Amino acid sequence: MPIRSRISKTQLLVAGACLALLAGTALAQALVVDGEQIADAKLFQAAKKEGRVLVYGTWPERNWNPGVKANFEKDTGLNLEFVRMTTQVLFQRVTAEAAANRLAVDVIDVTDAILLEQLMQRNILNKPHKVPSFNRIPADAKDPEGRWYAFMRLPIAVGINTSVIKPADEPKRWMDLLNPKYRGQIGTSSLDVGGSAFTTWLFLREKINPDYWSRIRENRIRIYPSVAPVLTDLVRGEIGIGFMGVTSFQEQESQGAPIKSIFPEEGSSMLSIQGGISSSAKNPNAAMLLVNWLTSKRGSTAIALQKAYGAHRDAPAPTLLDGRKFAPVDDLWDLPLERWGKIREPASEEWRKLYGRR
Amino acid sequence: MAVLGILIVLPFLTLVYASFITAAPFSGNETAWTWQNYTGIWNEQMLEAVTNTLIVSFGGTTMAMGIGGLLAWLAARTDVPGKALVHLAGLMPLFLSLIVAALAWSLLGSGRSGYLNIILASLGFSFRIDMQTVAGIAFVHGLYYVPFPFLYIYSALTLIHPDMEEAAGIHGANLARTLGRITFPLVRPAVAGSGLLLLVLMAEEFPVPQILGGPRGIETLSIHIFNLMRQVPAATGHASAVCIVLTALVGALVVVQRRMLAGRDYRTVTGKGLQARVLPLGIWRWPAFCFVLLYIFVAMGLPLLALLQGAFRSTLFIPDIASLVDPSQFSTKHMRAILTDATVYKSLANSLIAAGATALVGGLLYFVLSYVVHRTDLPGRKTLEFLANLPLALPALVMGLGILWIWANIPLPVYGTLAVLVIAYMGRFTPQGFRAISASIVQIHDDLEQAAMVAGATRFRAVKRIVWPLMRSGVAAAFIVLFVLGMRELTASLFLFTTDTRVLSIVIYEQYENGGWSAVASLSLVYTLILIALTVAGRRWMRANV
Repeated sequence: MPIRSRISKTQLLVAGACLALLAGTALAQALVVDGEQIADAKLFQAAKKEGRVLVYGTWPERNWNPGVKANFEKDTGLNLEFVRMTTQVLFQRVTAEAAANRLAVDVIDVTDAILLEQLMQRNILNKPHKVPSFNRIPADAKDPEGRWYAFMRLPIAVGINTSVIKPADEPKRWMDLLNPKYRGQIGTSSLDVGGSAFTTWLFLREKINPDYWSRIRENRIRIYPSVAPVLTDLVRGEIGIGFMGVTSFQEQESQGAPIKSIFPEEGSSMLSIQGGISSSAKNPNAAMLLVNWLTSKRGSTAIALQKAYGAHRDAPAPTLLDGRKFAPVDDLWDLPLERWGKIREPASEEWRKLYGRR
Repeated sequence: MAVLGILIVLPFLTLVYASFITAAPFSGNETAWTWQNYTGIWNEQMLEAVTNTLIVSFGGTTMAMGIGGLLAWLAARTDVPGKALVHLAGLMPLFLSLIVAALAWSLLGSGRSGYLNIILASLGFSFRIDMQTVAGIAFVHGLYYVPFPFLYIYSALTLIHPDMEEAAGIHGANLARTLGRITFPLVRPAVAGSGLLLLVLMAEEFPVPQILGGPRGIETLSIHIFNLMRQVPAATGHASAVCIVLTALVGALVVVQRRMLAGRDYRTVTGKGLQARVLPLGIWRWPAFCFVLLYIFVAMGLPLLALLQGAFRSTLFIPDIASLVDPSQFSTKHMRAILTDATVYKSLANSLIAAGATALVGGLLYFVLSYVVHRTDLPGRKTLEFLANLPLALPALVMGLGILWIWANIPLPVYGTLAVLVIAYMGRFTPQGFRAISASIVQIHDDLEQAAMVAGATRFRAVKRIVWPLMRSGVAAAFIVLFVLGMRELTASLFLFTTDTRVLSIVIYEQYENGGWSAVASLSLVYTLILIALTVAGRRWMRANV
């Protein structure tokens, strides 16, 4: 009897140890989705312990929530909280919170390269983190040290209201917009609205025609203080042509508005949403997990379904509602970060003088 | 004093500081002292913004005072038919938040696709309505700021002792003469108070010029400040300097108002009884009623119809009048999406809590403040009055930022909670709350409470038993106004909300910024129905105390 009891105890101990090992291994599994490792076991475990990640971001919720939040939460079991703000409000809020040592956000993104640089200079966005897919991300979509990544990039497109602009009159190129037949029919946002507006205006001058600003002004382009009223006036037929990030046109089209997106033959500039991990992240592991996920093939594929390019090269390109492919991301014109700082102020002043407004 | 200091003075001082330094305060930037912010703002754009602001403010104030005063007088002192409706008409614009009103009028009267313009075109008229102009902005202000003069003047009219008007009548004065010589002079504090309030509120108002004037590049001072703050990098220094200019302007207006009211005694509620006198309108009864109906139709009927169109249309593009009524163009998908969205319910709960707390805590604070200023000899009460009016000069956007700067730096668990929104609202609405209560308190003669105190009551007891019951109508009006203002507040909230504390106006504005007009219209409709329910409930309670 005592022998049986001793054996039994030993067996129990061994079995228990095996079980614990198995359970531990199971719990400490790496995060692998569709064969792609997004986080190793250690990071995933630590992130799960934190349980949540807080993001201050600029991508509209209607894209972020189905594209990122839903899929990330499903894949990881973590809770993702997202506060959406315009770039400038976000920047002011983040800098004020940081100055007061109250910055509790984990991941931050902005649409403006100057502000991104300022966030790094102020040590707010200064946490180098090389994601597992680092080598599959184009050089212009990441910081060499991994302090930021271009989470989403989308082409600036020309949108037309098909009830106002008949098929025969559709513009095919940026230069077409200078044709007097479109006089008073074109609208877009002010150069001062933010990063993508600045890039687009600069693209038009540097890549399309050096006199583009004055010539399109002669064609009585309407300048709006933000993107929203351009889109509204386009949908309502107050203007026939506008240009902005293609996603906005696509959403209106999907809701039945008579809008068509056109990628001009000469190419386009891009709207880029760049972000990284906050230096004072309260949930640093969850933040790393999210950035890994956002830049993974899995994350980029989910982002593509929301009509934007993700960071990962191998993710399928987004398509328009009518099945047309997006203009290739490598062909999109962007301003290198170092050039932003030099050209921003003089170019803006010149534009303001020409258009008589900020 | 300390409370006002935290609510108002600190954000203001931050603003003054920001106007004299080279970078945004508390942002981690290196800063140096400078005058450049003041010298650099005077360009053509600024002068245009000042001119537009003056047109929008004076035009809107004239219109709102005219309509509000007339409605108040009709409701309080005449035999106009349907008095309850008249009373409701005076409060109705509170149902529509200004952002919703601006959106609705943009749908109604902007460009060839405005609903009214589609109708005009189909009827063969060449005339078109254009709300995207300075006049359009003034018109929308004039329509929707009516509740302020209405409430103040109505309260004041119900407190005029009827003996005076009767005495005028006995001495042979006709209706016009009685109004001109007796009634109007007695309600002058309410008229001047609400007039000044309107001027300043319209000068710093944000959503209406932003939504109507923005697409055409029209700038008022508030939009100029907003654009300075929004550009990259933000011109915080210039924006702050423009705010200080606005403060100076408001300061000048306050001085003018004090001069107008100085040396007169407006107290007519004394220890004697009080029974309101009703003036017969004679042949003007029905025209007056028609005026009320017309106002209700233009201020509420048309925008609600526009919102219904916007909310239930599958797309915003309307080629012609047939399309306005074509059933195939309608869909409930946007409304269903809104009504099944958990964010909407969460934000509604947040709005109700923040507005309720603002009305209760703020209402009490303004009552104490008003009592101290008007009924005591405490030193510094003039300063208090000045401080209470100060937020009028602080554009909400900047005030929101100031509160963010301050409360992020105060080591209390307030920042990031609903409490910081309540603090912002209480600070922002101090002038409205203080004035609403003051307008009533100056009309109650202090001999009533003096008598109570002579009879042995403490000051607290005298206030509780005498002043408070007499002022319930005014205080109730102030509570309702504060509650509704809190429900509608958008601009200061922009800097202070988090995922957990997002309020309904923020959700609407986000949709607007995203270009989701159908969702905006659906949300606005729901929001408006909630505000209607609240105002109607509040009005009943208010009337019971009148």
